[in-house]
Parts: sequence; structure tokens; C-alpha cells
Amino acid sequence: MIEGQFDGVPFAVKIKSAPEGYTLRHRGVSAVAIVASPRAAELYKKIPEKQKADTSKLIVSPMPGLVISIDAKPGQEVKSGEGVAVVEAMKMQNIIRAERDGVIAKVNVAAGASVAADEVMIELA
Amino acid sequence: MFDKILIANRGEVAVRIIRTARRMGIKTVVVFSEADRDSLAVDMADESVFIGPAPASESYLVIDKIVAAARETGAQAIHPGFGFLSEKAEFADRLLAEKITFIGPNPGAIRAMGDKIESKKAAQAAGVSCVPGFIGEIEGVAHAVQISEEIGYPVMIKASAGGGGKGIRVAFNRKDVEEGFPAVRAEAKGAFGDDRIFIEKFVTAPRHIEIQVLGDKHGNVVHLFERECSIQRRNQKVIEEAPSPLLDEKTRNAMGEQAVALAKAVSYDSAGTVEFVASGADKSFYFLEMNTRLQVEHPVTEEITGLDLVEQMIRSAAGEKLNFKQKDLKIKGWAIESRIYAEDPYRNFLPSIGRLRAYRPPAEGEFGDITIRNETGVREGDEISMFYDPMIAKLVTHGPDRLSAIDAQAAALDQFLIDGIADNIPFLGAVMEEKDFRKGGFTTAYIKEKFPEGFTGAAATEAQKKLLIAVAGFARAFTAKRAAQTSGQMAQSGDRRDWVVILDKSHHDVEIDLDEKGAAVLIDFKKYRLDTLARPRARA
Repeated sequence: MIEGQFDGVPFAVKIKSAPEGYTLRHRGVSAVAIVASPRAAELYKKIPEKQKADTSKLIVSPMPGLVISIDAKPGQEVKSGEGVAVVEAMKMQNIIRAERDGVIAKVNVAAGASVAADEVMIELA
Repeated sequence: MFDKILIANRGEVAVRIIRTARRMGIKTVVVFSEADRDSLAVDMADESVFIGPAPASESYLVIDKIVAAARETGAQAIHPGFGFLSEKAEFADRLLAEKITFIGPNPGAIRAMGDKIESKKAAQAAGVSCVPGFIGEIEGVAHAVQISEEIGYPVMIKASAGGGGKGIRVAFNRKDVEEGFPAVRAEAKGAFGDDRIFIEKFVTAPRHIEIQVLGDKHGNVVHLFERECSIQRRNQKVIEEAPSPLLDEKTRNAMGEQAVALAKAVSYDSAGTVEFVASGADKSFYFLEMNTRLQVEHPVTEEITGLDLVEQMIRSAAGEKLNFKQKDLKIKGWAIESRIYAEDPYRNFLPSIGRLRAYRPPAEGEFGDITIRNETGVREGDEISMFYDPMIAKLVTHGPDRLSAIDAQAAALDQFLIDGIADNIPFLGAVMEEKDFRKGGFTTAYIKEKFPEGFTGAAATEAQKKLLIAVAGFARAFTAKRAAQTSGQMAQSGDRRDWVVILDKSHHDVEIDLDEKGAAVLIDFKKYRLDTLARPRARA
């Protein structure tokens, strides 16, 4: 956290080192800042935008929790919106649903396992 | 007065009660479950009693265990806090039988207000304004129109069995009723197999406003004005304030008088809250329910009245008379409370559990005409467990007027450092800067309407962008200089002044001249001054 005055106005900014540069938080704003030499900054302009990984075929846990049940098997066909697993967190059971139609290719976790946020639970073919 | 009381609760409210008891010279006993063995409340209390496993149903909710703990420690009275056993009439009954004082209202009052239908009847009998409506057989369209006109438009036509937005129509005039009534009836029959319909007043621009009441065992009851709790997410209060920006003196007095009348009607003898729904359109208000306990958001009332509600509850329970009258009470300034939850605002407010790697709240106390207060039950290194409420702290700021309290809240939120788990501070900070919130013009649908897609972060203003660029530039220049000095190596960037800050993909030319007190900063050829004592650590 950096506190002080900016042009005489008191402020507090939460700052954290990130893999590249810093993440900054202030009021409702969250931003990423890279600080580079002018030469390096020119090079940053030339780096192509990173493509977002295709996660449409992955069913991930939206939160850390305990897997209560896995309700799908490899080879099984699922429809968008169909419940495929139940994860419990904060006393609440959450039904994890398929976001698209498909066939289950792989199940990575079993009932009773702990899952992290964004952990891939089930993969679709 | 009691020598020793037991607190049948945990977390921040247990800490809150211990603080007041200690100030009054009363010894405290706190009960704890397996999950709370090392909690702040257990550390602070004079004595503690283990009462079982983490799930509340096997510990904090087991009346026998609480009573046994009081017997074992010789506590003369029990404060239930909020939640858990606080509104269970059986618990108050049992304590009466055991001759242990319940620090709360008498069981009769709990019972009278505990039932939704019974409490409405009691309210009506006490002259409290209830939502006008009609329950019974509606013969047909003509009858529906007659009822609607008696109630006054707008009205809500609702299927008895309805829910989830189905089988509900709002009618603003006769034509709407003539069309809407048969439609709702058909929908009700089709969807629920039950075509019973009721009609009640539709409250436009609804706001949640509640009146704090306080009574003693001698028939005295006063009200401590209102709290506005309209900023809610899924019926969970998030930001509360006192007084309410909606109320004028006349409405405030009318609500207060009705709340006191209801409290007197049930011989209320402790702190309690009468909840109303009020219309932002015409300031009409209607009784919802009464909570027969200390309320989570009680600190905002304490800040504007200067009273300690926990102390008042203890005094009333001990049989003391209220030592002030209604006319002695005045509203002083404005108070805002934010509930800091362990939830991730960027992921649709999903709960987040884990260890508090960092927990550094802003300094509490009085700073000029601003007061900052933080109510919490945790310390750095504690764990937020999945067993209980995900609230980490309640941050309260008080100022001479509403905007100064809001600005102080925003600044205090900026200074509140939490790491290890996700927290909703960025969301709270965004609300403090949002213009309709600042104007005081909102309804209970505020969060849903302002953040329909959830919270994705507020857009930085130009001034905020400059601040963030300067801070990032300063941090980089400072660590580069220090690295050059300490390593003794040729460091290319050690005394570099010119940098480029890429803030969310946009490039800004920056010059940083470090000095003892911070840095002179040039951003896109404009001069700024950054004063700070911060000494940023090297990049990990």
C-alpha cells in the first residue's frame, strides 16, 4: 500500500507486484500498470495480444470448495444447462452445469475431493 | 448490575459485547466451537467455554450447552448477540426458568413479533401503518377494480401461490386491473393450479428504513431514529447509514411514534428494530416486521446518538430505568457503515474462504470532525471458515454531514488492506463514488440496477489515472534506484528519470525525480507532486 498526498490531496493506493508490472487498486478501480524504459515500451507495442485460451470445452469450478458429487461419466452426452457436479462452499451446495452441449471426454476430480477456483473438473470432447 | 455475563455468540458481535462489558466493569465468558478455539473473542474474554463442533447446530444453537456453560462459570446473564439464539423465544423461556437473565426482550415480546401474521395484526392494532391490501375471495373483475380503488393505485395483483416473479402484475389504473386481473388469474391457474389472488398496495421506489427502539422494564420506550438499509444484494444488507437521506422531520417523527407504539403494545423492554418499507416517491411507509434483538448495523445509530446500545441492553436487563427521554435525543451528524465480506466482487460475489495473509484496517479514532470505527472479530493470520457468516468487518465512518461521512468511508476503504482472500472493498469503493448513491436517490433495487452484469470494476477518472500512473512510476523508479545502490553493479536503470507507464494498454511518458519526500512527477508533459513516506519493496 502506498499512502501520501498527490498534488496535496491525500490518497491510498493498494499496489502489488504482478508478473509484469503492478496491479493497482483504488476506490472501485482496479488497473494493471507496466513501467518500462521508453525503448522497452516501444517493444511492448509490437507484442501481439495474447489469445485467450479456449475454455468453452472445460467445466471449471467457479469457487474453492468440496466436491459433493460428480454426476457425469466419460462418454456421456450432456446438454447445455445440465447439472454435471455439485460443489459445496460456505454451507451452500452449488450445481455446476455444462455451458454447452457436448460429450464428456474426461472427469478430473471425484466426489470428496477439494477443488480450487477455476480448477478444471470436467472436459468435453 | 451483573458481575459476569456470558456471550452466546462468536466473531465481531462477541468482541463488540466484550468491549462494552469490560468498560462497565463486568466480567465476560464467551462460548466457542471447534472452529473458534483461537478466535479474537476467546482471547479477549475473561473466561471461555468449549461447546462443541464447528456446525452451529451442534454448538452455538444448543440451548443446553449454553445454559450449562453459564452454570459452570456463574454468569448471571446471557447476551445472545444477533443470529443464533437471539430471537428464539424458547431460549428466553428457558433462561427465565433457570433464573439467568436474558439480555434482550421478554419472551412474550419475542413471540408476539416472531410470527409474520401475528406481528402484522399486533401492528395494525397499535395503529402502525401496514401495507393496505385485500386477502379473501375476489369475485371478478368488477370486484377487483373496486378493491384496487379502495386501496389506491398503484396496486399489485398477486397470485397467492405465486413466486419468482410469476403471477404478479402492477396496475397503475382501472384499465390495468381490468386486463391484469384475468391474466394473473389464468396464469396462476396454469402455473400453480391455484387461482386465488390477492391485491395490495404497490410501493413505488421502495426503500428499507428501520427505526431503532429501546425500552426498559418500567414501561419506558424511546426510539433512536432511523437507519437506511436500502443498499442490499439478494436481501443481504451491504451499506447502511443513519439518518436516512429520504426522511424529513415529519416522516421521521411519524415513523418513530408508530415504532414506539408497537413496542409499548408488546411491553418491549430492550433494544429492537421496527422495519418499514418506505416509498421514495411520496415518503409513505408501511410496517414490515420487528427484529427483537441487537441489529448488525447498530453502530450507525450509536454514532449519531452517542449511545452504546449494548450498554443500554445490559442496563435494561439489569432492571435499570432509561436515564433519558425522547426529547433528550438528537441526531448528531451522519454515519455510514460498509460490510466487508469475504467474497469476490469480480466473480459475481462468490464467497471466498481461507487465511487472512494480511489484515490491516485503517486507524480508528477521531480525526478532526471525522470518526473512524471498525468492528471485527478477526486478526491477521486468522482463517475465514466456511461454517459461519462471511463478514470480515464493519467499517463505520461518522462526519458532520452525509458527504463528509461518505468521503471518509471511501478514504478508509482505500486504506483497508486485506490479502489472502478476496474481499468486496473495490465494490464498496465504487458505490461511494457513484453519483446516485451520493445524491441519496436509490431504492432496494440499487445494486441490481446499477450493476446489472455484476461488478466489473469502476472506470478510472482522469484524475485517478494520473494518480495510478504516478504511483506505479514512483514504485518502479524507487526500486530501480535502490537496486542500483545496493548491488553496486552497473544498473542501467538506477538513475533513469524517463519511463513509460502502460496503464491498461495506454502509453504515458513519465519523468520521475525522486527526493526525500517522494517525487516530482511529469506525466504527458504536465507536472505533479507525489508526497509519500512509502518505501516500496523490490519486485518479487
